[in-house]
Amino acid sequence: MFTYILLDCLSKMNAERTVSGVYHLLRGKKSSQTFQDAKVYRIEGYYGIYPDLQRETLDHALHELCKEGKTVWHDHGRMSVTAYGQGSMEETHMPLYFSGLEYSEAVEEFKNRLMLWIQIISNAVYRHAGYLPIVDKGPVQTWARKFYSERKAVLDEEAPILYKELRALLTPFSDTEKEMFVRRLTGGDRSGWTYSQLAEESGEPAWDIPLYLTNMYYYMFSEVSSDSSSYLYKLTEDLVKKEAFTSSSGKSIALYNKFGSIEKVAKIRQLQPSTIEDHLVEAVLVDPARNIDAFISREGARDISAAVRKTSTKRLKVIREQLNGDYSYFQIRIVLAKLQKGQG
Amino acid sequence: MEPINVKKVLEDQFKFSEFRPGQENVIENALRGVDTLAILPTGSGKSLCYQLPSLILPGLTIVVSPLISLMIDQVKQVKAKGMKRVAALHSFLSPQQKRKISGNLRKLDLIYISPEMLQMPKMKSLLKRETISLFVVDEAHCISQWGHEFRTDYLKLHQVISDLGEPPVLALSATATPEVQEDILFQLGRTGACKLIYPMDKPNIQLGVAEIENEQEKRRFLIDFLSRQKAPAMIYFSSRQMAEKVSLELKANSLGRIAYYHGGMDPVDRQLVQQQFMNNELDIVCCTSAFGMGIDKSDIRIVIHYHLPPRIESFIQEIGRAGRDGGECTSLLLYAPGDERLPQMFIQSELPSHEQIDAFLRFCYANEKTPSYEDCMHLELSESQYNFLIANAGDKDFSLQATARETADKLKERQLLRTEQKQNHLIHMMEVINTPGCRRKDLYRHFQEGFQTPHQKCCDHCHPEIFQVTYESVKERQGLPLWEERLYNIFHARSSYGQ
Repeated sequence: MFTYILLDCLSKMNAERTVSGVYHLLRGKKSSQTFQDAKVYRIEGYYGIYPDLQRETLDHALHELCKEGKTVWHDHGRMSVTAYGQGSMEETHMPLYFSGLEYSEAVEEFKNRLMLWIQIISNAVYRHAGYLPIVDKGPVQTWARKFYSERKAVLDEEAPILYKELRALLTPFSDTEKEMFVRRLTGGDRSGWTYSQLAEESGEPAWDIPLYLTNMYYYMFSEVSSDSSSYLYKLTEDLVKKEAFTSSSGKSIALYNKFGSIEKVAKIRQLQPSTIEDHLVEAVLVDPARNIDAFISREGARDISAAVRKTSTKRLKVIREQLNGDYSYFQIRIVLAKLQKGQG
Repeated sequence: MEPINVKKVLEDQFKFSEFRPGQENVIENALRGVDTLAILPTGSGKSLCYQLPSLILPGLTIVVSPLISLMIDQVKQVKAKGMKRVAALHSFLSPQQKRKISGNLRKLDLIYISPEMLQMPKMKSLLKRETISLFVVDEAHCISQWGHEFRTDYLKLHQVISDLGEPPVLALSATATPEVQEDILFQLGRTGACKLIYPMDKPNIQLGVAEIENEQEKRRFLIDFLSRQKAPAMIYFSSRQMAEKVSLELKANSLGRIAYYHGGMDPVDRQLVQQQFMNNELDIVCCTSAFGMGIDKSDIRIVIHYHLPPRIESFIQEIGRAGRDGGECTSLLLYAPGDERLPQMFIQSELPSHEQIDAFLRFCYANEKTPSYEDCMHLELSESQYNFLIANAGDKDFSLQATARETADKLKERQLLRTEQKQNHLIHMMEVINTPGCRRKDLYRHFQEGFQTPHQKCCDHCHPEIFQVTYESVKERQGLPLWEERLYNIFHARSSYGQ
């Protein structure tokens, strides 16, 4: 799964970004650049789905792909997918449920809540007191304490309900995935398994295990959060879609809407004008219907669109050269942002 | 305080029917407000000595602890026992979390705090408003330059205690030579404190040192030895890679349920390995010294050292994790000629070289200030090298060029002294390996006169047959159920799956 996702990202990025871009994307880096890459290259689903990814793991996987002839290196840390690599992707069919840009934080929280809640409810059923919580993140524990105090009287009745719901939610997955999911859980008289133990048991590569599990949690999250009659709905109701902008961008955009001047916003916010430009590009990425007339003439936008088509790249430098340097990078970026839906 | 009261708290809160040796006397002192230095061997339940009094004493009990991970583990475990008025304050917390805890001090019985947090003026003034019933210095040997884990910020504890109005002090350690014990009390300004020193030797452990030709033979010996065991065992390594590598090799030889553990793993995974070992879902853990701090497993039968420990203190601490239930247990140290080179290299990397000392001072004098760790990046100092320089350069007036040479000379002298001390620790460890006589005698002689009569066999020199020992305490568990049954069992207490 990991190598499939890498190939997908690399092929969509078309060697226009370095592999570090993939690394930041999968780890969910909170930066304008990562956010824009996710949107422009249509790989936003993968945003933040592998927050614990280590750089060495990525490098190792890329090295393997290269050795197998599925990818080739270009200069400056960029990599593209070979025809053989493309072919191998088409052979792989696996349903992926990721929608990271919107939900990576919500699903991460949901995953931790569910693992901890299963441990709590199971220990209640087994009448075990005094155990170490499997998730030691503060906010998750605070949530669990509150949730527990509301329902400690009815845990025995709720356990079979949760059991049936989980069983049903596991239906679309393969036996290997089901085994992985269930073995990772701590409860009753057994502890959950580590990633390396799950890898060994399933015969799948260790770097795939977190992704398999996360993919399942995305599916479960989308099922239960849209069904208020489900038991697990209660674990998701306060978890919201990520805000469209980073909070800093949101501020700049609001100020720009008010004053209509990049320089003024930069002065108020004490930021570089180029940073404000980044934020405005973000605004167009999120809402391609947004009017860009203030930044470029209709004619200029047409010129840039034509150049993008002609060069079939999203590399700013190449586009700008094609246009003989007539337009600024900012103008090209804002038109690219506007074009996103019409591309690919 | 009525003794009967204390016993009841022990039973109700800690679910123990009796005290382990030493605990009762230390608790009595704590409740009476007597300054105390207590040396209790690893596995004797040191933390209970302040956790229990904290429930009875009217005010707040402060525990200074050197390792944040240790603090977090302790709080988790105390909370699992049902004590809720407990918290830990350290630099890993967010500002909001810190504020929340420090704003609620009055609601707490027990607070763990890192020494650097304790130095903060704001923290001190908050604590000054509270009644401090007991000031606990955990791992007190860290205050002594002669101890094996010297921490400079421990040196400032004397001042903190006095700022807090001289509350009663309880200094605790598992490993302190008589020399270090004196130094602890001197540094804390408590030379008149009551000393409760309990013997460090473990009469239920058998000590074996296997001298082996080379690395490959080590592996063969290990596999052969473990193939005769069915009991909880720990194997210590000094490198993460080796812990992983050997664990895979042991697994390939079907030697039971085996996992590895080290500080570089995912936090949930670490928690899972600990729990599996505690619940007897694992037989063998291949680990670095990061494992064990929070482990309170009573039935570990075997502790093996694959690499040579750099000091007797760490060795004693690690073998102390075996046989806490009082039953027979065995320590096995695997030694191949040249193994001392690895700890030698560690010693060099812990202290700055003479060139680094000179460069560091040039930097200080040029900038007329003590640089932060980040400032020193270009000097390529390890954290412990930096700490050494800061602690020993002291608060100099860096505008005076005249003292530059003096400071350099002093630092170099200290560096030589520290290197020599560390070398001595290693030499002591090597003496245990090379002794033609009783290993027990050699191991404990730096800490105490003599030792208790061993319950079973003593060491491989007294009883060469101890390498033939076998343990069979692990029961075969039923095979793994498939996911459906396992899922059912999580939510249904009586395993009636399929009926």
